Amino acid sequence: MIRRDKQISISRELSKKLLPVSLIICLVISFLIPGAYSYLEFKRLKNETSLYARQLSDSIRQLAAGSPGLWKYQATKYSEIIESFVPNKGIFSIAVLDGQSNPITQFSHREKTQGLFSQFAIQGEPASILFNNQKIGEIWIHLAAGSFLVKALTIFILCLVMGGSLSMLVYRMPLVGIKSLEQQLLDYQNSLEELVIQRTTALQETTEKALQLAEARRHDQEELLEAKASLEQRVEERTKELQDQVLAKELALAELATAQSSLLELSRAAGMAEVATGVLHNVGNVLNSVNVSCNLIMNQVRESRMGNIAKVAGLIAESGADLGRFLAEDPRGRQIPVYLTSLSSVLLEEQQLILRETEALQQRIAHIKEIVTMQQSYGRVSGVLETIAPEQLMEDTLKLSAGALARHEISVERQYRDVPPITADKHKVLQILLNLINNAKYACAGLEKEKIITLRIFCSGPDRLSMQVSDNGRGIPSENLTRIFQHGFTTRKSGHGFGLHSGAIAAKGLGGSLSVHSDGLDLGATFTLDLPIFQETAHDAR
Amino acid sequence: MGIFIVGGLGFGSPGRASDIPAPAHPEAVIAAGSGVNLGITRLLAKAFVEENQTITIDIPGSIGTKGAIKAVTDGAITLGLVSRSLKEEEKNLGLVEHPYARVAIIVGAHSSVQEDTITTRQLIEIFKGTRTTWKDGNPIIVQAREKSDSGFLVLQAALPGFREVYTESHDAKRWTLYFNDQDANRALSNTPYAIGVTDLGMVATEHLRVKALKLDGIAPDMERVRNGTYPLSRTLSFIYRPELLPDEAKRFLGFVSTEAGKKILQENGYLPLP
Repeated sequence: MIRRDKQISISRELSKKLLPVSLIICLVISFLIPGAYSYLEFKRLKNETSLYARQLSDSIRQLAAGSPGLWKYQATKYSEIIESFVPNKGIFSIAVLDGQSNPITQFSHREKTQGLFSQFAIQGEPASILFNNQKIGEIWIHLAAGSFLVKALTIFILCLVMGGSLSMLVYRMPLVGIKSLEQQLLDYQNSLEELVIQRTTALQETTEKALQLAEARRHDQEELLEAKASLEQRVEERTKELQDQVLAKELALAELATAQSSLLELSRAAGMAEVATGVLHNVGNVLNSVNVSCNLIMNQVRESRMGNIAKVAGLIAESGADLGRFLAEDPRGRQIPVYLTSLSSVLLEEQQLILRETEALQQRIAHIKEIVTMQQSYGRVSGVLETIAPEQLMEDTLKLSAGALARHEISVERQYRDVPPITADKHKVLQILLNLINNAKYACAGLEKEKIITLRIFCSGPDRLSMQVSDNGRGIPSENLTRIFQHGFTTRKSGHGFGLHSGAIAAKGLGGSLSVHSDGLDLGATFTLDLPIFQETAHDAR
Repeated sequence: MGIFIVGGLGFGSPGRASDIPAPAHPEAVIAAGSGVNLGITRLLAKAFVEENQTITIDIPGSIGTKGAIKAVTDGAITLGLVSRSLKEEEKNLGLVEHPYARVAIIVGAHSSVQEDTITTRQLIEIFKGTRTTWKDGNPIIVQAREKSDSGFLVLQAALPGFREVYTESHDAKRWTLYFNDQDANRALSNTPYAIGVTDLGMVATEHLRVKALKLDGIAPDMERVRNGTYPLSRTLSFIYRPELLPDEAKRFLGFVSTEAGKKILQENGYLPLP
């Protein structure tokens, strides 16, 4: 409080000194500037007025000089001179007086102007009209002062406002600044004291916290030591567990190898059963045709006119030696030659029909034999290399599956290019293709649209060949494409997940590869068996 | 500060003759007025005074027709010289008008100008400011008069369309103005390529180097003024107050009407009136 009193007295001292200064500024600006302007402008206007009077007196003097005694009678001409002289000079009035100051011509602008100061005028010095160095008259001019007064008043008001404002600024600004500084100092001091108190308190709190922290750290250290001991024990236990697990895994792997080999056998047996089923079905189909042909032959023989020959022979035998007469005279004998002729042609037709059906029967039996021979050849032990046309291999596989494809109403499209024969283990290739066609058949099962399997053969490189099986069936989702050749992967309830796996292994064994492509679900799938063409390549691959 | 409220300041009509200088001679006849009349009046006065040695006729410079009317009315002069007819209100002032000659008003050009004739249309174009050169390419210098000049008043009345153009040229302050006839005549006579308005009498009496242009092909001469073929002319008159007219002045007026007087008039381009 004592400090504040002291500061207020400083402001008061300053205010006492500033007051006269601001008053002087106010007076100087408010009165000196407008006063100076008014004085100078008035003087200028007065000079201008005198100059106008002199100019006019010169014009009038020239006219007056012609007849100086009678010059005042030319008032009309003076009026005309004045009329042309007046415009744009701000003239309020003009008076032309004679030697006795009697007016000769007058002009007044007073009636034509209206305004705040329109009645005020500035009088200049009169100009004499001289003739022969004798004054014969004079001219008085008044200039309108309205505009000058309005300007002077405006400037005075503006200066008054400016002077007042400036003096207020001069008086107030330093005081405001000083007071603001005083307040800032006081505030600063107060804030310093508060800061010291805050810092002291904070220091105490920090010390307490540090003590607490040290205690807590000691406690944590003890806990850490305990945890370390417990952890070491757990690591030991876990190591033992892991060793047991590794042992068990090795055992399981050995069992798995055994299972895999037995599964391989099972698969082979299953494949063979599948081939056998196909063969039996084909044989069944052919036997059906054989049965039809047999029935046809039996019916033909049963209804044959062969017995009629016996009747004719009986008639001939009855006639005995009278055969000539019998043939010539007896009415039945006379019909015999004609009848025999027509019978021979009928019998000839029957013979041809039976011959045709018998040939068909022979063909069908040969077909059965072929099927059986094929079964025997594929049933042999694999590992023997043969050179065979790839179309033949594809067609043989198709024949083995033909029954199943017909049952499922699946049509087959062939797109074979001209390719050279390949040298390979025929049995393995057939097994792979049979598996692919079977898979395609399952993929098409249940489709409502037309089911199509497309078989392609083409050269995939200078000495490589591709055999493709495509279907328009269920397709394969992209996440399954990488897993489809894994052992045990299947999407069928009755599947073993072995066919494609073993096929891929077999293809690799042939020096080739088995790959798959599908655009996704319901967009079909294409399996490609890629093989080397030449024997040497095949041998090398093996 | 020297700023006055001048509302109370008043002007009366000019005072009566109190400041008129006394006549130089007891018998002097003072004749003053329009500059148009001055030259011929001085010639007439000279011839008259030669016959009447005892009489003096004082003829000062131009004070204009209006000045003459006022001065005669005031009794400041014996005879007023006027170059136009008196208006009704002027006749009511008790003045007697004595016309004695007519003279052709001419559109005059400085002798340096090649043209001999001018049309009304060309004249209007010149005063409008749209025609600025003579045929030879030299500039046309216009010497004009105050609005009330009697010569220009006749042109304004006689030439259709001229009044508007002349008034407009005054408002536009287009030309140098001369406020008496002698100044104007001198300017016209001394300025090459100048054009102005004067009359045949002043050209003769003041020996001006001025060419009278034919107006629309009609030459200004006495015969055509008499028969009215030439449209521009004015009548010169003396005016006086009969009760103040001295015998000397009556004798001078009589002389003007004599054959000697008429001869002087005719010799100087005037048409004497009976």
